[in-house]
Formats: sequence, C-alpha cells, structure tokens
Amino acid sequence: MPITVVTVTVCLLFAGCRPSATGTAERARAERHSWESTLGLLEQEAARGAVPAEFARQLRQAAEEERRKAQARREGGSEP
Amino acid sequence: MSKLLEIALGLVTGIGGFLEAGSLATSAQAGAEFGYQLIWAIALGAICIAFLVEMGGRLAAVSHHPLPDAMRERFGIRFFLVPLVAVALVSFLVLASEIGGVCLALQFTTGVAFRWWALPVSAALWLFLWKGTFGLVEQGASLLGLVTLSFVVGALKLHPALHQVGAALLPSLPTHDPAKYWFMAVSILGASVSPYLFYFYSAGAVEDDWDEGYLGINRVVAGLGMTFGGAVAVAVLVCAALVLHPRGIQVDRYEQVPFLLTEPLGRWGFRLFAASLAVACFGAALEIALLLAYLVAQGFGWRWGENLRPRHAARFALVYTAALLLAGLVIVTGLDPLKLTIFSMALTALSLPVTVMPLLVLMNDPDYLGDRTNGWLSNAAVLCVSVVAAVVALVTIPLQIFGS
Repeated sequence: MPITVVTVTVCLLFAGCRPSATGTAERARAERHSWESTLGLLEQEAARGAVPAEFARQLRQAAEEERRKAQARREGGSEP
Repeated sequence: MSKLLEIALGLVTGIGGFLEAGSLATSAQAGAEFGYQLIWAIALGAICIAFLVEMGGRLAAVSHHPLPDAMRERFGIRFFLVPLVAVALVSFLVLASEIGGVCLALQFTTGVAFRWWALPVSAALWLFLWKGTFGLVEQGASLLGLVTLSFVVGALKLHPALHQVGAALLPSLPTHDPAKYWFMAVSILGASVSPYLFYFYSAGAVEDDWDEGYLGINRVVAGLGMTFGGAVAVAVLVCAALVLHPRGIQVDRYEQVPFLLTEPLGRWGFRLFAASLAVACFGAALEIALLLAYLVAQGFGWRWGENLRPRHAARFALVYTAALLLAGLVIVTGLDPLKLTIFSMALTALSLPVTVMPLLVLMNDPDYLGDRTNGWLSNAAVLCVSVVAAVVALVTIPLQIFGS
C-alpha cells in the first residue's frame, strides 16, 4: 500500500511538472533571443579586440550547437 | 607566527578560496536571469557558511577531534555512514564540476576541447597533493585565488547602483519564472554552504594543531573571510546583472560568462576570467579531493595527514587518487560542465540537513565542547537555512528537470 501511494504521488508530481505549451514556446523564444544577443555581444567585443579569435570561434560553435538542439526539440514535438 | 599574520592568512584563504565553479556559475546565471534580485541568497549563504566554518574550527580547537572522527564516535558507525555517503557523493560531483571548470578555462585559451584536458588536469591535481603539504594546498591555492578579485574590479568599473545592490540584500518575490528563481536561490545556497568548506576547514584546524588559543582567530577568520568571499560572489552577480541581463542573455553555457569581465576590462578581462576560472576551480578541486580523503580516513580511523608522506598514509593517499581519477573520467565523457555544476549545487542544498545536523548535535554536546557549546543564534540560523534550502530544493529540482 505505501509503495502504491509513493508511486502515485511521484507520477502526479512528474505529470504536474510537465511544461505547458505556452511556457515551452516562451522559453524557446527567450533562448533564441539569448543566443542572438550573445552573438551580437560577441561581434561587438571581437571588433574592439576584447576576445581572442579562437574563443570567438568556440562561442559561435556553441551557439550553433544550442540552435540545433533547440530545433531538434521543436521537431521532437515538445514545442508548438 | 603572530596572530595578525594568522588572521591575514585566514582572510586570504576565505577570499581566495570562496569563488569556485559552483559560486561562479550560480551567481552568473542568477545575475543574468534576475538582475540583482538574488543577492540576498548569496548573503544568506555567506552568513550560514560563516557559522558552520566557525563551528568546525571550534570543534577542532576544543576537542582536537576531526569532524568525521567525532561523528563516528558520537553516533556509531551505522549512523555515520549516512552523512559519509551524502557528503562523499555531493563532494564527488562538485569535484568533477571543478575539474570541468579548469578544463574549460584551458579550452578557452588553447582551443583544445575540454574533455581532452580532464585526465591531464586530474594528474596535475594528484601530483600537487602527492608532493605538496597542507600549507601549500591551503595557502598557495588561496593566494593565487586572489585573482578572482578581478570580478570586484570589473563590478566597480561597471558602476552599479549601490542602493539597488543594497536593497537586494533583502529577499523579494520573483517577477517571472518562479520555479527557476527558487531553483537558482537553492543552487546559490548549495554553492555557498558546500559541506566541503567546513569539513575541510575543520580537518585543517586539526592538521595545524589548533587549541583553544585559536578560538578568537577562528571567529575572525570565519566571519570576515566568508563575508569578503561572499562579496566576490556578489561581484560576479553584479557583473552578470549589468552585462548580460539588459541584453536578455541567459547563461546556458560557460562560453557566455567571459563577457562579465571583457565588457569592463577589455582584452585583459578575458585573460583574467580564464585565470580566475582555472585557479579558483583548481584550488577548490585540491581541497575537495583532500576532503574526501580526510572524510574516509578519519571516519574509518585510518592514518591520515597531507603533511605525511604518502607511503606513511597509504589508504589516505589512495582515496584522493581514486577520487581524482574517477572525477576526471566523468569529464572525459563530455558531460556539460555547467549543467553538472548547477545540479551538483542543488543536490548539495538538498543534502544539507543530513550533512549539517550531525555537526549541530556535536556542537551542543558538552562532552566535546565543554563550556564552548553553540548559542541559540548559531543553532537557529544554521537549522533554518538548512531545512528551508532542502525543502525548496526538493520542490524545485523536479520542476527544473521535468519542466524544461
């Protein structure tokens, strides 16, 4: 009996934690904006020589990886 | 050594040793996402860790017992295994995060992917512990850690509105994304109130043969050291609040964090950021690997001591050797160091009651402390923060895992 109660509680908790479609879309928008702004700031800092070219390359690659991950999540159906 | 010099060294240890992967990542994320709003969490964590560090030092100075040894003696081996496993598990995850931090600093400066650095960094840490002494680990790493003061310089150059920073010392409710806000708050508390800090400090006090004559120094070092250390973490948050927050940049990767210093300090900012990340994480990794060895060796009554040659404390040396190797292997897998860091910090907050309660019981036991037992204020402060942090972590961790 206690195991059943714990299992049901955990399932309800996890179900309750599922993101709403609006919340997911908002988060995806914020994530896209965040990476666009990051690349904008990178260009600004690179132009005044504040970041080495090698690091700029790494950050552009990281941004591209994150964009691909976000796209994969959208295509996976977790985002509208 | 004069008492003033001891206090100065203690303060350097507090300031230079406070910032590490956890406090850097959580402060940067919090500032980027919520501006100044979560400064109160850093302040609360710094107060709580100051109490705990003072207690760990007082226990060592008065009872001459290392903390794990006293816990096993007071509660018995069966009960002792619970905090042992909890502290060992969260400390191991934090150790892997710190190694990841050093590797990322090397990746930023060389272009070689961080996972390739994991085993060389583990080997360098191991060599440092194998050949070094306790003083070298504690003071050498902390002296170099003063480079993290560049965040304070950066924050001052960004001209923060000091009245807003001061106002954020009082807790406030989130304006958006409450789940993330509270998750960030507990992650900050987990980073500040890491068990490794007070376990390591207590072991160090025994290693340095403290007696009751050190109680005054202990109080000053714990109070001021952690306050100044907390101020460095606040500086990181302020930089993030002024550089990233207005642009809507969230910290999803460590690669976004160097901007905190490049914006105010230019090209030097990038170098100082890489040096701060590497040195702070390297120093913390040394302390955590050593703590794991202290924990197991003192808990099981083995011969221990960083000042002993490894062949005279073979099992002690074996523990830090194995911990460094395994933590290095975790990073070799390519696990995202930022995610690992943030969740390690939340888990640390979750485990606080298990890791802190036994210390509180010991600190109220006249058999160990005589007439130097805890006052009500320190008991209440530590108890409240630990329980509240654990409850909030219990609620927000599933929300973060399954909600995004």
